[in-house]
Amino acid sequence: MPELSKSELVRMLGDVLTELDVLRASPDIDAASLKSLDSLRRKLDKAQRDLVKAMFQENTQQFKDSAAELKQHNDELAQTVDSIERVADTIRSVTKLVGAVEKLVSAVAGA
Amino acid sequence: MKTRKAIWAIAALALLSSACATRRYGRPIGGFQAASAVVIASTRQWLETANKLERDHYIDSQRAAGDVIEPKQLEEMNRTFAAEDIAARMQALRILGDYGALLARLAATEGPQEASAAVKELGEGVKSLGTTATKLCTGAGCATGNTRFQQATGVVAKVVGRILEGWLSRKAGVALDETIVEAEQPVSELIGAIRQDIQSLAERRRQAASEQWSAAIREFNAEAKGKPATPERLRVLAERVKTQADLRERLASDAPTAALDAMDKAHRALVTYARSKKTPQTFSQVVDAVDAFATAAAQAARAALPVLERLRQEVL
Repeated sequence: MPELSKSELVRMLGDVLTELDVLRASPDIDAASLKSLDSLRRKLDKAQRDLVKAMFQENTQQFKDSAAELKQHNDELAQTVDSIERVADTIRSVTKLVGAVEKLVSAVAGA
Repeated sequence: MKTRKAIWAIAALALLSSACATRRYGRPIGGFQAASAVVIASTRQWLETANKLERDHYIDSQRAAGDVIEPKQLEEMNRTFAAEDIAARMQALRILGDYGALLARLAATEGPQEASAAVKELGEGVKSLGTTATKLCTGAGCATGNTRFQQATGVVAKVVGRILEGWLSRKAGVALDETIVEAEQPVSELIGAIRQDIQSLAERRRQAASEQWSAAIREFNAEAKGKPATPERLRVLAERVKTQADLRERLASDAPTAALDAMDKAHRALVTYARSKKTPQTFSQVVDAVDAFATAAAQAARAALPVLERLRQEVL
């Protein structure tokens, strides 16, 4: 029999809970059975909540690790974007420098 | 002279190709970023209301059973998901959002086009400087500095070459390709972890809605069995049953899990495109995946939680 994953178990508990709710809503159910079903439902509800809570806690480290790794990529990407946006400005500055040098050289050549 | 012309032609072509590469990316990346923002906002809502759901579920259960509300238990429900666990997810979602925004910024950057014009201007400046420098008198009796000027123009030309080389190596298209490929694993892992959380929270919502639906039916049945049943009261209770049935039905499609799956697929398609030779076929594939993601995201946005809350308020 294949092993159930935690997510599958949460889903399975959800299916049982909804089936219990259908039974509890039946107009033919007697008070004693309803009491038993109510009690069972509370226990299963708690079991599902605890399982989801535990999965949530377990996942937190995964979130921290993946987020840290992605943040590193973001930082590098931000630097790349900045450097690309700066290149046009840098080239413009060098163009001005070349223009100034040319004026100087022209002055020398004409002298 | 021919060699210099050839170098400029190659440089211009490379810049043009770089600009085209980033422009091609514009549509899929813009679509990916817009759809991601919607899914992230929807996921944030689910996380923000995770504890509220448990708290409300407890109150509703006590009301349906006619039991007292224990403040300690109510507080316990309110702390089902620890603040630091929620905060870690919120931060991860923020980083995922930043990633999409940065990709869009890089794809839309006007750097390549602007630089293309600036590089052309610089090239003309250098060429003119070279022409002027050759007119300098460098023979005997001329200023000794003239020879140094001629040499200096050669140095400037080299500097220009280095700037171009540096620019081309950082061209936006390459940066996008590399970033998308490198981010594949953390992005995929993050989406997977978020999806699992949302699926679990959706299950908690499903069982809570199911219990409310069941309680509404029992209230209606108790009234219907009463002697005599009050028609007005029965009408009100019947409306509650209908609303709870609607809520129960809607919950199946409200969680953004399908949108998160589509987000993962769209990002994988971007990775495949980044690694590909950028043919019309690979471009069409990535556009299709991003379009499917946008559709799923729009559906997730329509199923926003405020609608559920409003329906819930109508019941109470």
